[in-house]
Amino acid sequence: MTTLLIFGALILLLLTGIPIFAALGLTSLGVLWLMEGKIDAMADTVFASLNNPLLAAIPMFAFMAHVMIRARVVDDLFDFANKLVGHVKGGLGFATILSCTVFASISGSSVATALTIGSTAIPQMQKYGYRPRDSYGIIAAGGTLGILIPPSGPMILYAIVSDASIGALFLAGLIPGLIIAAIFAVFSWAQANAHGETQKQDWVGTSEVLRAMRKSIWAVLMPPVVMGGIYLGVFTATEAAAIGAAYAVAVALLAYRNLSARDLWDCLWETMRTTAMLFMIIAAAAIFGHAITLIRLPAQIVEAVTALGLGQTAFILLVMLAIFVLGMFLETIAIILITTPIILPSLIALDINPIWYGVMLMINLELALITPPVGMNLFVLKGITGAPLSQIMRGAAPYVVLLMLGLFLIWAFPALALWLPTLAGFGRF
Amino acid sequence: MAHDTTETAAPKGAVGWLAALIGRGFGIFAALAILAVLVLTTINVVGRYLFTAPLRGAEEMTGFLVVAMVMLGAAEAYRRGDHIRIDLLTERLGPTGARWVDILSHLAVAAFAANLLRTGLHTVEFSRNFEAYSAGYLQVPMWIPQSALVIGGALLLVMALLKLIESLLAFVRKEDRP
Repeated sequence: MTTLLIFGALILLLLTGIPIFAALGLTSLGVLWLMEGKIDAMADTVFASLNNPLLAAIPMFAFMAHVMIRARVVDDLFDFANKLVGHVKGGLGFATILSCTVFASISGSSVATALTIGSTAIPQMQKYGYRPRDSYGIIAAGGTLGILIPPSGPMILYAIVSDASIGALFLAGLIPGLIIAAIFAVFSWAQANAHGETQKQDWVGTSEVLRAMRKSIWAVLMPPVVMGGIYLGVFTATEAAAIGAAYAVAVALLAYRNLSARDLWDCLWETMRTTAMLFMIIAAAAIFGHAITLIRLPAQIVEAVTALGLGQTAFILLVMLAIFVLGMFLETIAIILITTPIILPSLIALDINPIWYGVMLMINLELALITPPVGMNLFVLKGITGAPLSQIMRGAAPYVVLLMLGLFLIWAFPALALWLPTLAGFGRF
Repeated sequence: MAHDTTETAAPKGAVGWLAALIGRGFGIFAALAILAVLVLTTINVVGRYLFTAPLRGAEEMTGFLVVAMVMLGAAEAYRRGDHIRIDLLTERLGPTGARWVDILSHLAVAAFAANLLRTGLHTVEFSRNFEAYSAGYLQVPMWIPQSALVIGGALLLVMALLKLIESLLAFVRKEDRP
């Protein structure tokens, strides 16, 4: 009953349109006050949740992406992919997914991926006869790869909340990310070929492709520079992110020479605003975590799971379904921060690998980005194209099914996620 | 879900000028905190691998800088309407309904911020009285990094109140939504 009241109050506050951090924070303070008669733990909880050097990886990755976008390094990436495969019928969509995949391993953000690649690729695809809704679908879906292919801001948050290894999670997301990217690419190619009006581009010649590759080399080198250190155990996530940010600044200043000090400051300013907004949700979610522990909600769920005799499969199915529904209404970060502390004890009780679960959670959150009524990537596309939301949603619909297929594959074959981290020696994580 | 990131999200007029002064002024320190983390971490990595001389206490300081960055930057993010909210139902409201949502929003943020300020003061006072120090290499008196909570709570409270005044003024004058 108490649980229903708390979640009822939270949903009501969220629906009134107040900022998520305030809704989460005020609901939690209400619980603290009812349970303990005081809320003095608030400041301590906020401080403890933010005083974490691992969190610094998120603004570092965000700053790195801002610099790479502003220096137009990403444009060269799309140009190279386009020249490489754009001459094949349906190759432009393939090139777009390829660019999204590489950019996902630079940005760590789905919205940034959709926004950046979409601005360049959508006009190009439509110019070569792609139906508008198909081009929107490709970008909406390609953008979601940002949170599955490492580095990933949401993965870092999940790792911090669940106390899992960030390196293991990043490695676990790599193969599923590439598989889903391949599924998207093949589908976009087949869709373009099925639609008669799609035209192929002229082959620009090997020398032109090589020239485009040389230009894009700074972007292509970024993933190994950033992620290599984490995988080899040389850098922590924060250190890798800082090195990546320093690399991005060096590329922008020394290779591209197109950023001024003012541009760099603007990148820093944008990073500060995004991070402050995001981290306030983290702080409020920490108070929420404290409140639900007080009412023993995670323990009650473990007891209910045991009493009902739910096995791994049934539990995962239920949780994934619940997260899918939540994803239609809530923002991805809030879902991670609200659900993980509640579910984690049950995962441990049922001996479900938290890394495997983390990867499935990320795929489910990718679905959240392209499912109505609230899907961030759908809104991003509406913002950059001005197209009706219904048209964008129709374009994204096939990719919802494809992502579900990806989720099913990772559930059915956990080794797809766990093989790489095991190989790298992360053991039982 | 909405990020109202346009300039129109910021208050206008004299109240807006004051809000911008406070938000941008402290936001500069928040942005510098990110830069400081970048520099500290890079120096630490370079020192560790090239000179076998890591920067001691770098991670501890990074944690404190994250707290400072969030607390000094949250008010500016709020001023610019960056904080995510769910507008699934409220976007269907007319201009008057939208103004009421704004007022409710500012009141909710003010309540959150006031409690952060009050409990932050309590935490700082506790740490000072018990002479608590950080557990790492730096051994900083804990009330110093914890003071960011007090500053952050106060800034967010002031910003929410300024935006509330702006919304109320617009409501009385029947102006467009600020």
